[in-house]
Amino acid sequence: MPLLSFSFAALFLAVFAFYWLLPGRRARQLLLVAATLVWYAFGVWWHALAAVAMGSTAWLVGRWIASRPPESRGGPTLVGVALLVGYFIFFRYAALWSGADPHQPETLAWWMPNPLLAPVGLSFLMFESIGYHADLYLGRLEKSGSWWDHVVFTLYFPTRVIGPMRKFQRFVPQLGAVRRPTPDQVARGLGRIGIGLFKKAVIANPLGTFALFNMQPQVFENAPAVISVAALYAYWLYLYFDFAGYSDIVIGLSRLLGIDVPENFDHPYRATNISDYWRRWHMSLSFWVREYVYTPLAIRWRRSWWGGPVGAFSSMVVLGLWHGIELRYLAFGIIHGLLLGAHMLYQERTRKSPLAKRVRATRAWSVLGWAFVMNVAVWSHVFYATSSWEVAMRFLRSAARLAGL
Amino acid sequence: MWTWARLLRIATFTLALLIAFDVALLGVEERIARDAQQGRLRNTEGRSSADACLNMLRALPPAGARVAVMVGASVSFGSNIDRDEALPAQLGARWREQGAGLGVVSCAQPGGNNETPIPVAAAFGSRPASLLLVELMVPTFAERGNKAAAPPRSEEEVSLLEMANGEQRAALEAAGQWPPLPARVEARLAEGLRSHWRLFRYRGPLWIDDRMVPDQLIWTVRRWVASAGFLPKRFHGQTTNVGKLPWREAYVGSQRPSGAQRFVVPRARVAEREYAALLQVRELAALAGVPVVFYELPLNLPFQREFALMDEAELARLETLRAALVERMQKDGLDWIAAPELPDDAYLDRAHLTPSGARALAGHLARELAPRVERLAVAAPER
Repeated sequence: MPLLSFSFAALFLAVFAFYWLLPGRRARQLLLVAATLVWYAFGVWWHALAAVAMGSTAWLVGRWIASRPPESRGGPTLVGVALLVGYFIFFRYAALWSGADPHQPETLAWWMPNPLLAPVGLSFLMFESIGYHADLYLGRLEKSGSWWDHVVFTLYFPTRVIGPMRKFQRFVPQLGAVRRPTPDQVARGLGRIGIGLFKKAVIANPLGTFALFNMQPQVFENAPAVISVAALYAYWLYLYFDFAGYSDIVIGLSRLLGIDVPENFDHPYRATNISDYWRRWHMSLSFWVREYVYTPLAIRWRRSWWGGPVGAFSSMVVLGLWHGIELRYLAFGIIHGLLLGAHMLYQERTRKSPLAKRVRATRAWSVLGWAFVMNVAVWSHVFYATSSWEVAMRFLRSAARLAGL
Repeated sequence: MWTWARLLRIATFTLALLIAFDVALLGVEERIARDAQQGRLRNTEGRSSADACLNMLRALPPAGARVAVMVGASVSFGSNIDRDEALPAQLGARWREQGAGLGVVSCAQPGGNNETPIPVAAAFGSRPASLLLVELMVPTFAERGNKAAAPPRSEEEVSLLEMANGEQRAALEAAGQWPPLPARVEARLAEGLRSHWRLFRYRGPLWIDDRMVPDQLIWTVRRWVASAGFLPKRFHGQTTNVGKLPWREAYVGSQRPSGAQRFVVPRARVAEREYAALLQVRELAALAGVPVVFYELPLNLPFQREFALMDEAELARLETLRAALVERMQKDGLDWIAAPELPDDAYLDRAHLTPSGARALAGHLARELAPRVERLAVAAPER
């Protein structure tokens, strides 16, 4: 059931009405779980089982981690991460890596799930669950919570498809915690939904029509290069407005239920350097990799000059591969990782330089930085806009004609 | 600071505004109904959109109407020419001149495929027309290696399928074409809005440019800017020249058509899935007592040669494919009309027609259909 559909609107209206009529926390949680099951039933019903199985696995391992003394939690945490990643790979890649054709189900072995029917939002759920294990390991979360808490956390339908990525300990206490809706909360929720719909329908869709058409190989290989390049810029804008629009709608819907979910975008087009960009773009994911990949590595290597940059590089590689275990996503991660690492190194090296400080404070520097980071953002998205590494390379060759290369 | 009273005031004002707007649309509704009968109304440009088609078929009397329904893709829709110049409107005009007493309803959808007529034929189960005319583009019948999944039906197409009668529904279920429950729920919800809210019902035809829906906005703006002379009056890619220019005038200098203009014919064999769609359309229409005529679209092969889009081997495969398709259709007793030879200036590109091209094809169809239309008049003067 797509977020922008009449069925979703009807389901949410019913949930909204009953949510505030029901008296207790548990009843409201039950309603949300039931609504999510209806939501799943409108797509592929067993996806609900897959999500509950993944959430239950995370909970079981979480209990194991919580039961161990802090100094010996590493092993169970690693087991948890391996299980969650394995679960994800099984659904998404087992068939592809075995050489089967998902479009021809007869080529799949009996135990192989069809990746075309992989449970929706699995990558989000995997990272949310890994974050939960890491928080238990790091002592940020004292108790593993009940199985029911995990079911409710896992089965919250507004965030299930495109996030934003949540934290277990921040999300679960909010469910049913607010007794009555306030006009302020309803107005802010509706306003946010309106902004999201505007971004999606009025800005993103036309841009997407233009960009996606012109990014097809049979089109860009015969088109003037200036059109192809314009399409790539339009693609980045489309991606931003589409994703930010969806995120606004999810945040608005959650507000109507008295729940705050994390923000996902903070005007990324205003970023003046690459670090700033990643503080503004897909924030729930970039904050996740910063918290669970970059920070632990940077702390571990804190005595060496390369600790921070290598940590940043590794976190961007993880971020790239989260989108899919493919060469093009790896390339995206490497490009951003190298630039982020270089930027950190530059900042570290020029921290005490008064000249660098003065230069950085100038408007020209900000404009140059903005132009650079926007171009990096746009051009690196060639790996998302095209269907494969090979097509991305063909596009870049095609675009190079513009520069007479 | 927000209060419940303020929220209520805003909600009431919004509702009042929508109601006022809907009342104001009463006059427009009558104009739209008039246009529909003359083949001048068409679907909104966009994938699987069958909004005008659904409204028009819904408006037909359940006992049947003296109209021919035309179904096809962008050529029959009339991409890049005005709706008055498109094939259905031109055929309607011919029949009016001849006093044939048969209206034309356009159900063509840009981007449509060989399965696009299925929901229309199913809708005849409760709103029968006199005749179903289905576009036939030969290259789309070529067998291809990959089995691409069929695109999901739009909510309007699902609503059309739900208009099927009992026998048609059984046939659709047997063919795996009956929409699943979630799609039907979505269509019913949209149906509820459509029946109570004019603005939603006519959101396509109400745009100032009937090609201008939000998703197509960028093309529309491009078209306006080009028409004003600030950009070349032609597009690369599938969306071709905006000045309705014959292709030899549009593709000049460095302007070359994109690969999207190539007819891809990997094999000369007829694809079973594509051909099965034709049989299913005929079966569904027959179950509603509506005859079907398939009309072959003329192809601009000089265009393919001029820009070396297809090589001679592929052109030969296309010819063999056509022969195989014709043989099979004749064997199965499908009623069809062969494409006419059209002059060079009849085409915008590989197959899309200029206004004069659409007029020529409409003339050809009117001539070929004349005996059938006469038979219809004798068999069922009024349903």
